[in-house]
Amino acid sequence: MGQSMSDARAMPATASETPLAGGARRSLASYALILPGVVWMLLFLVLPMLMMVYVSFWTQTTFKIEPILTTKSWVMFFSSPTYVGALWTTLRIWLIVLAATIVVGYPTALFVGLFVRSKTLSTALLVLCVIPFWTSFLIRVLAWRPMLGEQGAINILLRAAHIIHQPIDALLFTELSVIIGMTQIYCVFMVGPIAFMLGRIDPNLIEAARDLGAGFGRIFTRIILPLSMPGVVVGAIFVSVMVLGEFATSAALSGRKVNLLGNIIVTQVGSLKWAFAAVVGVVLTVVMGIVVSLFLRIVDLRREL
Amino acid sequence: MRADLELIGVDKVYDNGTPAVIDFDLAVEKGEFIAFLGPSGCGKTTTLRMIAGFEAISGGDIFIRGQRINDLPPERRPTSTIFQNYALFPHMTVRENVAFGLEVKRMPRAARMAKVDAMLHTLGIADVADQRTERLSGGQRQRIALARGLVVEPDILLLDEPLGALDANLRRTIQAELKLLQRNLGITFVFVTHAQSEALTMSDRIVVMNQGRIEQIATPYELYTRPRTGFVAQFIGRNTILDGTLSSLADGRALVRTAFGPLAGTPHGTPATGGAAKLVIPSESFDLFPAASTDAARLRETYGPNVLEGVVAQRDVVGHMVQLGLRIEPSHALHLDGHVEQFHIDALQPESRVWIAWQANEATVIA
Repeated sequence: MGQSMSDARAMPATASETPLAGGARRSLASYALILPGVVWMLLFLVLPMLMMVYVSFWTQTTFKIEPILTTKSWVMFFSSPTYVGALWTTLRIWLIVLAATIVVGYPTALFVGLFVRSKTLSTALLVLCVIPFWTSFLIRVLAWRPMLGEQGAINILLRAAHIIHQPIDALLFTELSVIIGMTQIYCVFMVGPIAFMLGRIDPNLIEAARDLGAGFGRIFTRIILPLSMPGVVVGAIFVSVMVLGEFATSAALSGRKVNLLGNIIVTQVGSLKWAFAAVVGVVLTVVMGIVVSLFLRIVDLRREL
Repeated sequence: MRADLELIGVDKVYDNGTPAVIDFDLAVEKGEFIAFLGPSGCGKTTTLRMIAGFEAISGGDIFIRGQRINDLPPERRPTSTIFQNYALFPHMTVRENVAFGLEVKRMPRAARMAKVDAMLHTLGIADVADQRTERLSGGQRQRIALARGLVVEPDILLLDEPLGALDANLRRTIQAELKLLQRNLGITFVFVTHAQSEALTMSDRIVVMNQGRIEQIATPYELYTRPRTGFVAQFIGRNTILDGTLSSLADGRALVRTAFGPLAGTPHGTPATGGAAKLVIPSESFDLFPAASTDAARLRETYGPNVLEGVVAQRDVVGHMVQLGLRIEPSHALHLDGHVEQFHIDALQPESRVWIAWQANEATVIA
């Protein structure tokens, strides 16, 4: 007590120390502020992940799992064509869905964020994009069945229009239906961040580019696209993280033909194969980590946002 | 020779029916520095944007070097615009910003780079050529915008309040630079501003606008000494404006009947005999004489009818400047400021009586 009081009195005397001491006090306060967050993350993120890595090396028998370290589950994952195939399927579907959400989402975002001049209207349009989310995820996925099925809306319409004579059965319970379903569900996560970045582009920049003689193509490639890249990256991270961990859409729309890593985890956990589920979980986490860090390399988000 | 830039009866009506610019007529010679001056909302920026092509023209015609450009999109007009916020491309370096217009014109890389470097040198920003624009100072950003606009060699450079974001000292420096640059390049500059000092120091001619209409197009000197409308008289300089009725008009002299008796000035514009008229007297034209030192009759030999009796209400000497508050019966307050040498300030004690006089040719009579 006496020590701290004399410190307090000594502080103003040396001016150079005052900001230092102030900084120390401020950072102490800021540590206190982030403490709950750190505790939360340690307990519910870092610890479970370490646990998952640990469990992936446990010994699994048919009826029980024991903490005896072994690489058996890992060997099984990487030596089985089914499981490695599931990894490749996951990566393939992720890339296709990512491309599809950009192809569908970017023009939508361009319209909402840049071409709609009224802020009210563009907000209303973004809300429209979100309206499907007012229903449950399962209903949104299952609603694709009556759309894509052999007797579904698309086949009926195409036949009524005499564009086709035989129903297209490739639409449902295939990889295509999974891709269509995922693109629809995750597109809005691409549209939002891109529209936000586009909305922040100063209209004077586009006028300046026109003034210097640039047509729309050049303005798009040299001004609009580079300035919206942070939005594309953020959207891509959203979509990637969600698609890589997906299992419900493929379960509902693939007719069990498409197995993603997520589906394998569900099956293995369902049959109490914890160790093997943990292996798949670690693989998935590593893949996501690589994907996200690659995206963050494209754009320095700290500078752009 | 045809004018470099010509606007004939140009109108702008917004979609909601509000007129923004009404019947704008102007012909600008090549190499002229023209300022559009007026309060905010007077239509000066709208007019500039119509010349640049960012606003559609509701009526009339715009010609650049004889070519009608009404329907040309901005990317095909021979104009460059300097925006108020500079509108620099934030994701490009200074060099890339300046090179953009040449890149668009598909100029070969070597020629393009040489030209960009020359322009960066001219404007003294070569040392920051490879930096991004965000961290640079206002003056540097201003110069980058100028370099980017000038490097494409426009026929006309349009500047939309480009000095508004700079502090007062920098503004004066850049004013001088801008004027020099314009003279050296011989390019027509059209400059929008609401600051009369900017317009008066830089322009060859000033277009004073108010509520969408041109009030007067004149050189700074003429604008200062011979305002044509009441708005200009109030907006430019420090004028005393006396209302009255025009009683006679002869030999370049107009006599106005005012509350202070008949006073004379030089008519400008179209004041009509018997109609309402304003007598505009620039602050610099007033001569003051202590009442004790002379009498009105002697002063009238020099000044004609323009001799009034007043009372010094207030006198503040600030260094070498003096600010005077005068009262003219029946009821007019007159504020003058000037150099101490200009007035016999020792005799101008508060509550002392003075003669206030001015030459008729320095006062202007307008409708």
